[in-house]
Amino acid sequence: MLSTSVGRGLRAIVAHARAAAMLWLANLALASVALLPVWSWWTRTAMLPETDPLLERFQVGIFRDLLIDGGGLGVGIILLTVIGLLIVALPVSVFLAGGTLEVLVSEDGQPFFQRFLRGGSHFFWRFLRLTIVGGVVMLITVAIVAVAANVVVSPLNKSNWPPGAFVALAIQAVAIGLVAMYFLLSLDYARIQLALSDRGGVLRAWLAALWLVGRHPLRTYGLAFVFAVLFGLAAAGYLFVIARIGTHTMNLILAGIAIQQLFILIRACLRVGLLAGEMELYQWLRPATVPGGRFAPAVPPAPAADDPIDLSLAQ
Amino acid sequence: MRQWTALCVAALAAAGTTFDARPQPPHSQAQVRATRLPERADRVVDYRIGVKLDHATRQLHGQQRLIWRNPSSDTVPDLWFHLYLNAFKDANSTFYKESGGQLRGATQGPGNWGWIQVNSLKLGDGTDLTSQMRFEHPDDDNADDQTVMRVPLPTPVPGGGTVTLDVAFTAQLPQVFARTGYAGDFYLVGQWFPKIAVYEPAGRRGRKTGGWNSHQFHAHSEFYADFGRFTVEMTVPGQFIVGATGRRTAERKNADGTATYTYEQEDVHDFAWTADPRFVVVRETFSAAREVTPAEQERTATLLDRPIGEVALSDVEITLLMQPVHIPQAARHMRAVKIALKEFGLWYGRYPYATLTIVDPPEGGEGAGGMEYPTFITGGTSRLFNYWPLKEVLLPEQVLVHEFGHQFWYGMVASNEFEEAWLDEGITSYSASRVIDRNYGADRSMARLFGLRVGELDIARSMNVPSPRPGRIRQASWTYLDGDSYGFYSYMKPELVLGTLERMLGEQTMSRIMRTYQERWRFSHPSSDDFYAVANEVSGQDLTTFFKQTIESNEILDYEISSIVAVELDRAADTSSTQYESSVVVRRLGGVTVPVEIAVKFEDQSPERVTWDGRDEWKKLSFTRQQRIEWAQVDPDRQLLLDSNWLNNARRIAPDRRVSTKWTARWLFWLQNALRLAGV
Repeated sequence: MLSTSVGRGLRAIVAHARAAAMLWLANLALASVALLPVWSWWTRTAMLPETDPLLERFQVGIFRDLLIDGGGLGVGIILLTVIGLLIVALPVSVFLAGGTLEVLVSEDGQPFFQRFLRGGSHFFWRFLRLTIVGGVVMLITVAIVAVAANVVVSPLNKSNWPPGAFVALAIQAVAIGLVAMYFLLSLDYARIQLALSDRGGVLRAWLAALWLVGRHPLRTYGLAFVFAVLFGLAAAGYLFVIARIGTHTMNLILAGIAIQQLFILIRACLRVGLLAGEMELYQWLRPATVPGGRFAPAVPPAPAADDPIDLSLAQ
Repeated sequence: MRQWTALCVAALAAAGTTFDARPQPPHSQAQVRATRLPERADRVVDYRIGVKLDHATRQLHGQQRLIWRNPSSDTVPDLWFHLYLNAFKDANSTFYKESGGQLRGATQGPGNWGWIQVNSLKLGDGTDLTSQMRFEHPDDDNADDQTVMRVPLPTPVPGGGTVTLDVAFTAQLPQVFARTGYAGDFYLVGQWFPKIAVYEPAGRRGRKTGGWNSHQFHAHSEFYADFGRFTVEMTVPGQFIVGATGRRTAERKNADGTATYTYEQEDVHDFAWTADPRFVVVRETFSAAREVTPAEQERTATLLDRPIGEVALSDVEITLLMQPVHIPQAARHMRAVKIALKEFGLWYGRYPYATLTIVDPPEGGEGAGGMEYPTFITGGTSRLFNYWPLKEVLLPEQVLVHEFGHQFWYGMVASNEFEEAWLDEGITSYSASRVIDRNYGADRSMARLFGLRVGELDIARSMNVPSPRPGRIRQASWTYLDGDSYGFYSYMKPELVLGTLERMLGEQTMSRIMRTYQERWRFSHPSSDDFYAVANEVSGQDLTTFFKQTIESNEILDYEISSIVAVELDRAADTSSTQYESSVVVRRLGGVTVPVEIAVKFEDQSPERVTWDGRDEWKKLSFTRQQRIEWAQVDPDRQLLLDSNWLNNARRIAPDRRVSTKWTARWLFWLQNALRLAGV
């Protein structure tokens, strides 16, 4: 079941490359809002040879001089821009999630953009409510878990065992990570349920998703873990290449920029793949009482373990 | 005001003549070369103290016999004492009013008071002076401050005469705060006994007439005391492990379950000790023969222009008193200390004591960390530094090397930390940064984390902003506006000033200045003027203006290339080649004037250098060449560490957008990843 879902996800990356490209473009467009303040901050360096060592690596002393030499205001503007962007990112991400799922689910022959925009707008308010509810509950739960974990590991923290503090920190991090992951995965599966059925309330979908992830943690976490490993490989590859490419000439710098964007594109591909894989897994795991909705048969027969579901037939 | 402690004992090689603590007459260069490190101090005090720690009440009960010798030819009618623990007595002390009960990130909690009470004070012949004791407040009008005490004597002490005093006292230790106290079972006992002040003879440190130099305990000040001998017997609960200034000469288990340890040390001016049942004791010997190669010794002798025998070091027994939880850091602690023993010893003369004790305070006792006492220092670390990645943060090494450096600048060259803190903190910061940079890498001497490297110089420069701060380096420590100003002018700026001086004069000359200063003032009490005199004499230059501008004023140093222009000239009829009129304007933005070099680079040419005395507000350089100017740079060799802004030191004529393109793209990439995390 898990391997089938992974396979489905990986195939979806190829089949829905335009969706991944759309995510990458949206990411780039939003980030580009900060381009002007960032560029205007750094462009001062063009006339200042003292900043040339920054071509080698980041240097705290030079950065400090840049800040003191009239650069503090610019950094403030950049920070405000970034904070603003991260706030805007919430509704944008909700829209993109709707559009991506619609593209993955629908095969109605409509053009890609039409389906993407339709999905983004059709599910926007429901996904937004879902994200807010899920996010708030996640934050509260994570805070409670963090406090509880802190209490649990405090003997380790206070012990004279030298690695005690590190082990305690690791336990806390794992606990918090697992809980946060639980809510994030539930958010995905709730969105998938809504996208597939296009029926039912947000709260019901979210609770059903919590139940589903809670009942099948190995499969749901396992699928996410596989894609996390793929992300890790991509990140390692990026770091390996970028560390060797050098930045002494403008051509090398431009090559580095291309590699950076390729990495972001790979991240977008993996996101599309994960969503497709989760959708596949959801079809296997969903309770019989959940309606199939507009794209799925009422209750599909339980498939064999190595029998992948063909979503196109599900319509 | 970092604090550090060090108490370990050392036996001084014997013999010798008494070192004369009074200012020396100016030396000729030949005399400078003849100077030898003094072997022992002029011993003014002799303390014999018996103290018992009451673990339940956190109190010390002490009996002290003090023999004080009048180091002057004056007749002295009274004695002045420091009662430092009374700084923590209540909210009315000068210390508390200045600090607000907060120091170095630690807070003196409510009810967490410490104090010292002199129960009786008698002359050696039994004459009781207890009723004659009076509190003094020489620095302010705070009548409630009880950190300085004066006792008139029935018979004045003649010049060169001695007086013997028997003092009984009780001291209440606070929870660790501002260097001293307890944290759980851990004790760091510093500034804990009635300590006689310094009687300065006429001529010392510029005094016109002899007199007591005794200041109250302030938030931003440390200490000042005379050299002598300490013999201290400490009685503690039997399970406690004890470390102290000097060498342990006796120990015994008592019938009541306590244990008594005796420590002795000569030629020191303070005594501190520690006790904790959890200490893990790690002992190693610094073997001069093993740690210093003949080649290093020879190189140093050449650098300093000293006979090779004068740069020989001696063995030292190192005792680390580590918290169990920090044991993974024992090796790096030991390495840092050995590096410091070697480098400081080679540059400034051998560490003359036989022992060095390093105390590792527990978590919760950080207020005792980073402090120096003679042969006894405290480190400062956290269990977070046990393992990767934070073990790449070199804060523990920074603290240890700095505190050890105080053995030379405070411990042996015992300047007045109240009045001229830079002479110990600033010179130690400068010396320690040399050691750390050489041995750990200048660009990573503070930290190396995930590719990000931070050097000690980055930290020092970070506070050196282009707008002058109120204050100056040579200033009484309690008169600074705030802790930041005290820190900048006592630690950071002196480090930058001395680093600049080193680069201006060259490593060899600077090394000889520092060596001579140590040789001339070891076991004595110099002032800033004494340091200036040595620097002028050894360098053969009059550096007075430099010191006045950098140490005695708050002027800043900043030179900039303010403009660079190249204009194509009309072609002359008789030549087919293009001529360019290039000009560079260099401006002095600060009040500090030093000679500077200006490098100018023309197309297809090697950079040329021009020297400017740097005194005028600006200088314009003009060139008519066939080549167009590419860039100009003031101070191309980065000599002027004190320059508050290196960014404006150079300017090019045509833009080069590689840096801006690279870093704009990188920032955007990070933002894109953050947005991806947010679901976009």
